[in-house]
Amino acid sequence: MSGVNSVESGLNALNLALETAGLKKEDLTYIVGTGYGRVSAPYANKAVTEITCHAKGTNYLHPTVRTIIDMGGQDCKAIRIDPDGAVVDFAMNDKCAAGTGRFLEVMAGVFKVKLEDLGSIALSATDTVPMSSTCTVFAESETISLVARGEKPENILNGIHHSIANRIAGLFSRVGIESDVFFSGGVAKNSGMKTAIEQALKVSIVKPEIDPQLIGALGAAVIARNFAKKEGLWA
Amino acid sequence: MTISGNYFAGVDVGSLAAKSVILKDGEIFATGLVQ
Repeated sequence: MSGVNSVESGLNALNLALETAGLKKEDLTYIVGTGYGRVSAPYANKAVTEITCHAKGTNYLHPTVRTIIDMGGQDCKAIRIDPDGAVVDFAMNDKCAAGTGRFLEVMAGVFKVKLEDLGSIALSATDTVPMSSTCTVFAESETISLVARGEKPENILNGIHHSIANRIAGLFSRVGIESDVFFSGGVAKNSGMKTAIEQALKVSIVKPEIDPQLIGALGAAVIARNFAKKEGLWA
Repeated sequence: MTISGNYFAGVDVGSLAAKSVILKDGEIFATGLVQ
């Protein structure tokens, strides 16, 4: 968990990649920081918003994608991009935790299961228990009530995933949807969430070529290369 | 050791994880993910 010390967690991720590559930080021509902690990244040459980075990262891997759903730990975004990976329009929910990785983390805590297992549990459901609360705090108490009422955990989790997917569909009513559609961010690894979104938006989501949680960092690296070229640091 | 190629890094610091990708010229060369 990156927590409040975003400088240290960012450096740890960078050092891990450097170690894997057999490189030192001095070997890097250019570094771009992104994400909520981008403003406190002294190791980076520049900071760029995560919306721009997710657009560029997605376009690098999947040039036919025009619509991105990005679900991270603390917000959810609907992004429309052009064939060059430039942002055409976007809408985001960053006012509350509902519909984010944090929301799912709370639900994993309620059921005492691993966060990464939530999606597969939801997909094993035989029914969908509707979740009326949209606030994380109220949804947590509603979930506890549903468990006490005897509802099966997988059916409740299925309802939770569909509730989140419907909130995401609301974001797309503002920006529209154009194929192909891609799902990025840490929550994109949740198979139940992917299925619920596909059903809510009536689309098929493109299969990611790399871990979808890395798309923002990938976009930042692509932008770093572009900046280096523009500034004459790379021919 | 002489390093060949040009390397570019992106670092994404989120609330639940920090991620990094290194490109060698235009190709993905290495990644780092810290939960």
